[in-house]
Amino acid sequence: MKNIRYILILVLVAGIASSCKEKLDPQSIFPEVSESLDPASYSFQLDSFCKKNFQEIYNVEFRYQMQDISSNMNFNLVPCTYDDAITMAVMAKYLWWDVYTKVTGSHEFLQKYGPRIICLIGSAGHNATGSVTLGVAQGGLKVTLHALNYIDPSNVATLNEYYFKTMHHEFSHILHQTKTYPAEFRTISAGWYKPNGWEERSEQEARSLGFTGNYGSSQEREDFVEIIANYIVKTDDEWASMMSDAAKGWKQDDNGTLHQLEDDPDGVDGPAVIEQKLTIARTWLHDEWNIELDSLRKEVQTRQANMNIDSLRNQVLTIGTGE
Amino acid sequence: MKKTYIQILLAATLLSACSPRVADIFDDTAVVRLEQNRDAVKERLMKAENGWVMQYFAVSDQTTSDTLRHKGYTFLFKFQNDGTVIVGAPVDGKYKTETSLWDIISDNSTVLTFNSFNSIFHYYSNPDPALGLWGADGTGIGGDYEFMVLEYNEKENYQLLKGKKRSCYVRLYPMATGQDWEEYFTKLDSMDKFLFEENLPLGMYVEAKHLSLYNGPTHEFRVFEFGADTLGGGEYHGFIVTENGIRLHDNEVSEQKINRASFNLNADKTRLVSVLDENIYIEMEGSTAFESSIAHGTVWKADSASLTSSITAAISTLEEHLHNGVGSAKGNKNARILRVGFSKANKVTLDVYYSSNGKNELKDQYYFDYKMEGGNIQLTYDGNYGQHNLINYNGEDFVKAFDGTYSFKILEPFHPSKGLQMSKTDDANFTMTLEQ
Repeated sequence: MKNIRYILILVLVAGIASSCKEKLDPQSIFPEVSESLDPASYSFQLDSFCKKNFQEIYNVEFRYQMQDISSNMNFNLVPCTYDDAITMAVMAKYLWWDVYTKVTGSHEFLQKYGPRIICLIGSAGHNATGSVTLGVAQGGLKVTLHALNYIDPSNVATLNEYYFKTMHHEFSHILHQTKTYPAEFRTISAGWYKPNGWEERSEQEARSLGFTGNYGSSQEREDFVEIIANYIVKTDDEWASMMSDAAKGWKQDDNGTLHQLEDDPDGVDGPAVIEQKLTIARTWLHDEWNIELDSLRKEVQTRQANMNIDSLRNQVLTIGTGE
Repeated sequence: MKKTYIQILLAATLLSACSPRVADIFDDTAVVRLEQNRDAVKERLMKAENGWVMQYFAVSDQTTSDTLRHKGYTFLFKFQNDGTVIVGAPVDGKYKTETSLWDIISDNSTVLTFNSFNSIFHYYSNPDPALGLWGADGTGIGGDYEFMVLEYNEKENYQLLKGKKRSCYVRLYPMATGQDWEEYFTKLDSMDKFLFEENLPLGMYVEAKHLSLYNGPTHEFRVFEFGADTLGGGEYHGFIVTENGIRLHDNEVSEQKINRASFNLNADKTRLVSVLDENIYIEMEGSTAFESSIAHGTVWKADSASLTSSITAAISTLEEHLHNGVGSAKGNKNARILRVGFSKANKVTLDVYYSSNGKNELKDQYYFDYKMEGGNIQLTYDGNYGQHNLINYNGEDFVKAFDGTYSFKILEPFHPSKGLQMSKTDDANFTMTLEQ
């Protein structure tokens, strides 16, 4: 009986409460924002390019005007120059969006799985350890690229190291966060990962252990995406050189100087391990994503070799303005 | 049953509080008001015909760091309607301008952002260790480039901003119409040179406190109580050189209470006086200038023409002894006292320059203890010396004549090297003008 009394009270209270709701004003409290760009604006050309090539096709915001809230506040960062933002916008389209679209046969793949926001940052993310963070992927939605103020379109190796390897790396994270990679990958280098102190390994020492570089030796998921990213952007010669490093033994002395050893004391067949990981990644991309890794690589390599940055930049600079 | 009625009554009373009949405090929604504020700020910034002067501090005085400095910097901005801003400032001593993007956005308040890289302005927030700035850990100089827009100070005509990351207060003053930007920095350089060229400590009087301000040329005062040991410690206060003087950082707290103060040069250019309270002022004090310069190796020489009767009388007496001889010391009619001066050996040293033949110049040195007494210095001969040939001619009497308490007057403000008048407080006729 006591319970029934309390239930009645609750019903009564709920009834009274529901009756005191204020009716919502159907008009939005947010001011109406015009979608059109201002031709008199200094950034009209780049904004138009980004709207047409990223927003309208892929629903991607290309955020080159920096807001610190959209960056990692633990870093001290500065924006990129407007000019470098133009360079990155045209190269990103040419070497990344257009590549995936061509290899997958439509815009649909990137519309569905591609990042929604690309953030450009002028400086690198400097860590307390002395290492730098070149890019970050957040929740499959946003890819942040650092160090745009150091972009040099004539240096493909640096472009890849700083930006495009980073983009493939971060996008691979998005893909494996959507469909995880095979469990067998986890067992290959188990015991060799070094989440803290991976920077202390040289690139060569890491390769000898079956990683593509020292960052790949930090964690299993970084290893997986580094295999894919390195394979896509490295030329045949660069890949062969990396495998050659992997076949040798290396050791740093107390001064940090690297020495090649006559034997390979770590007991790991570096090239074989890298090939094993690459095969798993290749199969996973084929089976889960219907992407041929070698076709993707070939398209990137061809475009890298034939890139004409002035011609690409003209896509922006020839857009008519209000002047 | 009675309990149930009470419970129902209680519930009904509580729920009556959700009556929608509450008057609106504001005419518009928060979003609309934010938008209106954004537009108003944007319009105000673009309206300044000749742009704005930014008095910028990278980090607050409360930031403790071995590497970050608290000094201020000046930039000029012209905010334009096409989304660009022209930034002007000296770079490596040479005036430069550069154009980049700006915007007013709504963040945690209305925020002024410089959102594309400008090599002049973002230098102060650039983390790149390769620039060789203080802090190899990616901190750089530590400055902000996004600022919360706070109130507009109508009385002093400036827009107050606050750095989003470092919480530093930054002021924007409208630039005078017709003022050439490059010439403006020349004015600042002239003021800087006028105040700090001689690199000597300044004295500051604030609320009955007498403070000593060191390191003026670095634009970051190291502040001590007057007379305190300056080997370690001190409180750091960044400042910026302005057209009219200096402005300290807008500090919230300071043990020495030298906060929120602009100091303008007074009419006769002898003092920097606080715009908030004329009893708070900064000046270069003669006694401090004398003591500090001596300690750093400056050699002062008295202008012979400036010597007054008590000194010239002492010199005449000594010359008489030189001419006539004293005891076993033979006289020399050609001997002359050329001049006197002060320097440092281990204490304050009285230098007596003389000649035995009118051609060569010799120097005796006599050591004095010194004691700062407010704005005066007490000198006492301690009986020790370096070269001391004149002792044989009753020179000690001459030296002891310099015992006493002295006041000092800087003849050209903030430039004691161009003339420092030194007078005994109890004998106006014992006066000389020291020069370097």
